[in-house]
Amino acid sequence: MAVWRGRRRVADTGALVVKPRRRGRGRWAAVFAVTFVLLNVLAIGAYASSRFTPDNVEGGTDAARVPAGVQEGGTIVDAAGSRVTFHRMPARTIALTFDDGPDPVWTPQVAQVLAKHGVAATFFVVGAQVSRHPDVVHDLVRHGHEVGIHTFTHPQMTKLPAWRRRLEYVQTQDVIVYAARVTTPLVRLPYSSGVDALDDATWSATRQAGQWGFVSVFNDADSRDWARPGVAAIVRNATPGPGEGAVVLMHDAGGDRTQTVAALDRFIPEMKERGYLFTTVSGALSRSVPALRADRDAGRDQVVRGAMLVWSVKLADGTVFALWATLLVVGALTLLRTLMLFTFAIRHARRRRSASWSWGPPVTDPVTVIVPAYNERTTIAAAVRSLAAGTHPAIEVLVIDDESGDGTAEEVERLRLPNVRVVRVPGGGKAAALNAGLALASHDLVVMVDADTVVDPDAIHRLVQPFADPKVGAVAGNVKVGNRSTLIGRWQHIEYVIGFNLDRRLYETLDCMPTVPGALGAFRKGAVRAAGGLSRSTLAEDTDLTMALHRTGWRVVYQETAIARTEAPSTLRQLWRQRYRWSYGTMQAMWRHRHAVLERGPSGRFGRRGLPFVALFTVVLPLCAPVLDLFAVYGLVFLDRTETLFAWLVMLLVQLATAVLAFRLDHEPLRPLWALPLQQLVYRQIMYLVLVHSAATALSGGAMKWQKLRRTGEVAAQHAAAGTG
Amino acid sequence: MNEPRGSRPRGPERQHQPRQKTVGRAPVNRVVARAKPYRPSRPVRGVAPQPDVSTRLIQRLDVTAPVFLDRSGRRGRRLRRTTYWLVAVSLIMLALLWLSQVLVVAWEIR
Repeated sequence: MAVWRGRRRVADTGALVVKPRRRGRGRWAAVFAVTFVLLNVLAIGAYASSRFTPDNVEGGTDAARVPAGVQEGGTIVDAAGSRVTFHRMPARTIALTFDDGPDPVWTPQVAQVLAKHGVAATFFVVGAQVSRHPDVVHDLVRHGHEVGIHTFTHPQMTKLPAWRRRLEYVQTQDVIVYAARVTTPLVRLPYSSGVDALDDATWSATRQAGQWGFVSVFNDADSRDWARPGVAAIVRNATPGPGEGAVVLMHDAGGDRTQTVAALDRFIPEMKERGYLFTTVSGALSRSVPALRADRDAGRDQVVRGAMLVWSVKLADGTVFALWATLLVVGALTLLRTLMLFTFAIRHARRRRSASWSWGPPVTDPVTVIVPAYNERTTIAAAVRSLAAGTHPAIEVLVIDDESGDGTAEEVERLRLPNVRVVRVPGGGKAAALNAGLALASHDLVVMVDADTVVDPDAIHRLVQPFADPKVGAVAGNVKVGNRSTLIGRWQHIEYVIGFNLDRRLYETLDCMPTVPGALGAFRKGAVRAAGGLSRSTLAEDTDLTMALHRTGWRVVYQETAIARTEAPSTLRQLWRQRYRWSYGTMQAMWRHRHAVLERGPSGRFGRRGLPFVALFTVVLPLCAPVLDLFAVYGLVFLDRTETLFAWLVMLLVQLATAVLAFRLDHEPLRPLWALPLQQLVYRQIMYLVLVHSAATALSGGAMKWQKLRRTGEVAAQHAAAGTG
Repeated sequence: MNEPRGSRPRGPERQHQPRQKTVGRAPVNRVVARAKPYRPSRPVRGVAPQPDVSTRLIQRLDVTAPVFLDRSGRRGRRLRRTTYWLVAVSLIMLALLWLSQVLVVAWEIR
């Protein structure tokens, strides 16, 4: 029962003979590349979403170098040449200017009011917003309005180095070109309101903008609409002195602009009645300012750069939105799961501990314990001894030696225990060994125990008590991690206690227990046979069998008092291998039983209720959970660090509360929980990667065979020491 | 004439038998045409040959076959190529974006 090539045995049956290929590097390179691209996309999203407040920051106090011409009212500054020139709006002429847009809601409304009164205006747009709504800018230009640059991310320009300032202007120009196929010479610095508030730093930035060919536009009248002071106040603020011309500042984005729209609808007709003319900045001053008359044809390079910026911002926004949505779903599901765990687990524990609780009459039927073993010499003796010495009235221990090469069978025979049988079968894998054990079992109740697991003396007796209920087909025992001396052992201990004490209670209540663990599980032999025995088509034969039992109508329950201690992987590499097999096997089992969704009877019940629930909480939620850590890092780098840290601590507290409940229900000391915060930083991420690895293997159809874990014999040694003690 | 055909001696034994007299010939029609020798038709682009399903072996479902496993490796190859292609395109686009922005900054530094 093995694959032979020539005279050499090369593999077991069931395992594929696969040519070793060196794909590891390529795969890891792809993973790193995807991570790199994702980080870049997130960085672009964060750059384009820089939070800003409307232009309400007053200037600094030091204004010694600001020319008098500006402070006396030269609101349009042309510093293109060596000589700086200042210009004012002609008398009775108003240039309406709108900052911080475009906004998909308010800009069209503003434009609508302007169109109603036949007025053109100047919109100083933020480049990032243009990237998001290029169509709005296109419409503005098409309807005769003028656009100016209000930087790409609306930063405090005076605090930026020259190259960043340059980038802010060029990027905005590029996206305007992409959106409307026009260039603009107009620029307005963020947070630079009236010329009277100009300080030296702002003036320096204004000079630099001029040297790059831009004309800076300040304002004569600030409507202060960003403060939403009321329609009348906005109109009053925007109104220039009698007979004067003015550049009027308003906002078409940055919050609710209902008052702005209403004020505009009142302001324009009132000023028209007073004989005022409305025009754009260029419309009023193109004759006197040469830069405003310059050729504005867009270059192809600008269109290409603008397109790249627009689409990268859109992609980044979409990615961030998708991640936020996933985060919300994950958060909601995690909360729901936690609430369900608390509710159902506590109720389950209370019911079991009540004085009136009983499975029925005591079960004293003889039991066959099947122990499949493959090269388990280090641990088998302790396991068999603990089983053979059980307090159940009649226990037959059946060790199925799966063609071990390390003398496992001889080790058991050396024990010379009267109720222990050793059967050697040709190597065929764990499922085949268990099937052989089932065929050779003398009794109708069978218990399957892993060869690295040591059970409590009364564990088998307690484990089979639920069979007093004739509807029960299988019972899951309470498996604990025996080797907890290392950090990795403690992490697994926490995971096992939570998994067994909360998850299994929940699953039992909802009648959808996904796995009776191979380490300790009891079955009715007839039920297993009716379910088709143990299949070799998945690597998680215990999960597959449990699902098959559900489909044949048997109840699967959890017996928390039947305790076994198993040897958990002691290195990260071993842990990775074990979990890779578990998660891949669980996916295989779910896929294998997917047709249950459409079936009738108990199979359909499990398929429509249990299977989606299990798939959601054991595969989908853990697969999406990395978004929590991703956003934790994203928040620490790009968002409010305090808020992010607070959110992460809340999540940790929820985990801690869950763990404390589980440990209390299992009467475990709370001391190992100090390793929980570290578990959230390392262990959880490894589990994500394992799950992603398994999902990738499942999708690609790659071959995966059973990987034998290395045993340290720590649990066996503890048992031996306890026995001699 | 009436003895079964299979019982007639063949080979050297037959030469010692007295030659039997021909008593008549069966009437046959004249050959009016010849069939062309069989030549398998060439495959035509866009037309799939009809498979002879009547004599094909039935593939039994292997219940022990590992779930998800694609022995041909085609699925994995396709997935891998698609992933690599997408990653390469993303990296190229990203590089172009950064390059375009770096050139703007470089112009300033210059």
